[in-house]
Amino acid sequence: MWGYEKKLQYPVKIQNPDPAMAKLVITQLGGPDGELAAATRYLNQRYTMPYKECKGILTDIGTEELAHQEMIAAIVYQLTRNLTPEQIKQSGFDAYFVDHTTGIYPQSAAGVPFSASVLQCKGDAITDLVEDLAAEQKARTTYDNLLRLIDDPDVRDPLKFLRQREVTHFQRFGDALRTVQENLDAKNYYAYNPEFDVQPVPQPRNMPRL
Amino acid sequence: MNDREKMLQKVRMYDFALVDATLFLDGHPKDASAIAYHNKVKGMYDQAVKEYESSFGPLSMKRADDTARWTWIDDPWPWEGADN
Repeated sequence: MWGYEKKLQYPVKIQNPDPAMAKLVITQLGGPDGELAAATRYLNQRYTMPYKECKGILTDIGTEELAHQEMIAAIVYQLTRNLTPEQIKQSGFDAYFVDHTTGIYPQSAAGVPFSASVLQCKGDAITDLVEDLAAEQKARTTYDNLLRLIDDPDVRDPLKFLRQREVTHFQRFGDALRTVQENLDAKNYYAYNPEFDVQPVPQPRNMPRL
Repeated sequence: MNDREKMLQKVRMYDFALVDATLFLDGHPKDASAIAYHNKVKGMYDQAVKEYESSFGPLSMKRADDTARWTWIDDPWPWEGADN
């Protein structure tokens, strides 16, 4: 189970609304490499993960991603407070506004609603952890791109924190993948799925002797 | 930064150290120095939470101990940018 703590993991305190920036930042909530996708991916992959180190890493990183969702939502919320109709039209926020007013809807920067089709739970420890490593890098690239476009230090500061966490999570998933590989037959570790096959796939009986 | 903000920042700082140490320990469960670090920070975290909650109310509804009025719902909520 989970419990809520009434604080953000890192402070978000934005003085000036900027709906155009909100439309970009929202991609880290509901976009293809966003925090909702990350939390959903890790918290669902963990059930069939065979090693205790990996169950712990998926649970704890998945939980931290929930806190990151909250930070991104807070940024978007604070960037879209007290808007005038003129600001909404001039900033290009009008298309979002007609559909959601200033509610926080998980979508990408291009307006595509969140979809679980951006992630996978393959049920294979190596496959899933390699996806997780890639996911952290994709999220880090997205934060890099946002930081190239955003000048406001109030917005940059929490985004830089989140970018750094992607780097750390990449390291921790590296630990998880190493754990899996150490638990497998080192000469044979691509031959079977440690989440499903209890032992290496048997060789065919009539295999010719080499 | 007002008092509330300063105290909450302290909680956040120790909370962050615990989160980061936990992720490391998940993958290195036998690392004695990391365990010692975790335990040291946990003491500081517990103390900072206690100090904050005695003045500004519970960070978790499980530690709410109201008698007359339920204060868990009091503003500001974290995303509102007041002094989260």
